[in-house]
Amino acid sequence: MSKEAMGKEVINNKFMNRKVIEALSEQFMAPPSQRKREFLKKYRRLELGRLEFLMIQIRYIHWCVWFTSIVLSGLMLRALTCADRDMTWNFSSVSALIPFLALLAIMEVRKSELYWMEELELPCRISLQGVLFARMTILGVFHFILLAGLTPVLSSCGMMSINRAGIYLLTPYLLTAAGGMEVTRRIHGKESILACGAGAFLICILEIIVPQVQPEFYQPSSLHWWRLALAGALLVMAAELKTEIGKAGSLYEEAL
Amino acid sequence: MDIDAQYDKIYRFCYYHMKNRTLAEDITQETFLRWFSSDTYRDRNQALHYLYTIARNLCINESKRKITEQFTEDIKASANDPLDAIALRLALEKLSDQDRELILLRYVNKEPVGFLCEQYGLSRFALYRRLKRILFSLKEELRE
Amino acid sequence: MELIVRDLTKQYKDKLVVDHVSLQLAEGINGLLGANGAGKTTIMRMLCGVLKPTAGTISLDGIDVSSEDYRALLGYLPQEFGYYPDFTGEDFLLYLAALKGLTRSHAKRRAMELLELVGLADVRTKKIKTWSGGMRQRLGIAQALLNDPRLLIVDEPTAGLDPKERVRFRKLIAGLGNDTIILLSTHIVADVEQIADHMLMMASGRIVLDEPWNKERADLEQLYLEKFGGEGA
Repeated sequence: MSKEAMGKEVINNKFMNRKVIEALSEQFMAPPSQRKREFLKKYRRLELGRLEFLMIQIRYIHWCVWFTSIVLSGLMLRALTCADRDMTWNFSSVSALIPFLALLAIMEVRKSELYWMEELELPCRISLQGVLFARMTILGVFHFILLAGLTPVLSSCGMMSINRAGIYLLTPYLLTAAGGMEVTRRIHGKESILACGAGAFLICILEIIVPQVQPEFYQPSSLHWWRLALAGALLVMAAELKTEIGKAGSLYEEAL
Repeated sequence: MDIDAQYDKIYRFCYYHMKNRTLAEDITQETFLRWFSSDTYRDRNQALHYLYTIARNLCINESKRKITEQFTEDIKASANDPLDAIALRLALEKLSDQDRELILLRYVNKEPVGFLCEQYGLSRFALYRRLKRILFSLKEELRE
Repeated sequence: MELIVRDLTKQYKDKLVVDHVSLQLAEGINGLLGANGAGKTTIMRMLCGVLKPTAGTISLDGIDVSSEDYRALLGYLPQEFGYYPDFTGEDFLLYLAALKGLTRSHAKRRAMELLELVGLADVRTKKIKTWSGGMRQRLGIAQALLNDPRLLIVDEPTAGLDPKERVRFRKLIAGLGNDTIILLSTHIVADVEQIADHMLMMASGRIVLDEPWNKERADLEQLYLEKFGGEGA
């Protein structure tokens, strides 16, 4: 058989296969079920597994968040490895950018409140708490990985312990995040974004100005201030998480 | 699992075995009730396997009480299907019970291959070979 | 199915917004009439588990309002709602379907069904920001029906809609069948006069009327004025 004829034979075969398969559906057709809706309405088993839900929530995190996070981290990396500046300036620029990383996370986690969707999400089966928790976990892990990647770089470039480097990176992040969570809990809508943005800017400015005024800012002698701030931020974050996960969802209570 | 869609698939499976609409639906609902009250599974293929096993067992129990009918009913002919529905029906009857059921699960219910392997105790390769063989024999019958 | 509400109360610092309300709602359309500020929205939010009551209990066939099982049976159309920017009508429904626990394939089927029911199938791929108020409201009712609820709570659905849209909405609700408990709040008499099976009226946080309603009656407005005579309507 010629190559052409064989090729035709294969295509014919596939065509026949498809036709047969289509015709088979008709042969096995059943008359429509009559009591399906009633039954399913009565037995509402959760179709979606928790892991599947998490995967779906990952897809709903805006691509801007991933992209901007990576860009910011890239900038921070560049700032750290830039050898032709004094170290204080390098630390400053890195610490100054971190609040915006946290801002991104807060904006995304509190998306429901910002766009007035929470009224629709709260009464769902997997209620808003589930969504918040999913978003916090996903973004928390993602940003943790980014910061964890930057820590050894800061440690080696700045000639400091990993411990110290970690504190310098984690503190502005958690301060911004904790503040952002508090703000978005009390203020809804677009004003919330402005308030959080203002907070992030404040911390950013602090990181730039303070080292100029107080050169010991990044010295080991001042580390206890950082530790204090970090502890405070952690406490607020823990309280926030507890409130989010524990509450039954009381919207606008304060507003009224 | 999309229970809404799966209900239809199990119902079709039961109807194929019982040939009776009411009975098929009763068994479908009983199947789901039993499946709901059992433990969770490691993966989806296992869950499906268990679901179909319950359905098949219920069908077998039910049919022991009544005489099984032949796979002959009103021939369903389609107006726009060039393939001869009668010939296809006859060709299907020539298949073994298991082959016919396999066709239902694979090409009509479109169940995943992984599940089918578990259900019939075949490797992927053996399954594909079998499906190919069945399709081939169907086409051969139709050609005549 | 029955929704049983006992002694439901909501107190803010100095204001008693909902005053020891007790209700028993059955399947069919239950109209809730009352002026703005009467406490309708507050009650509805509590019935949806969105707001925590100061006191009282809410249960649907024995299932308490705070449980996931209750929410599985619930559909809610709030008075106002937003949407994520760049979402199309279909995206919106699929997003909420996931929150209601539907698998992706089920969600797609259901979304299509509902978009056709509310007449938005041909604009489903357009972004919601290009839609009119009436269209968004219809989308709202579609999302409330995603999980085939046994309890449907609809809060002032026709506020801001033109008369034609209102009639359309009314027809949609009326066609939802008799196996769902529907609670529809409004301050527009015409919204519920012809379709309600049961009528409730609320003033200053209290229920002032709670009786079966005959759809043939055309005196709802009169009744309303009688009840609310001297109070600012």
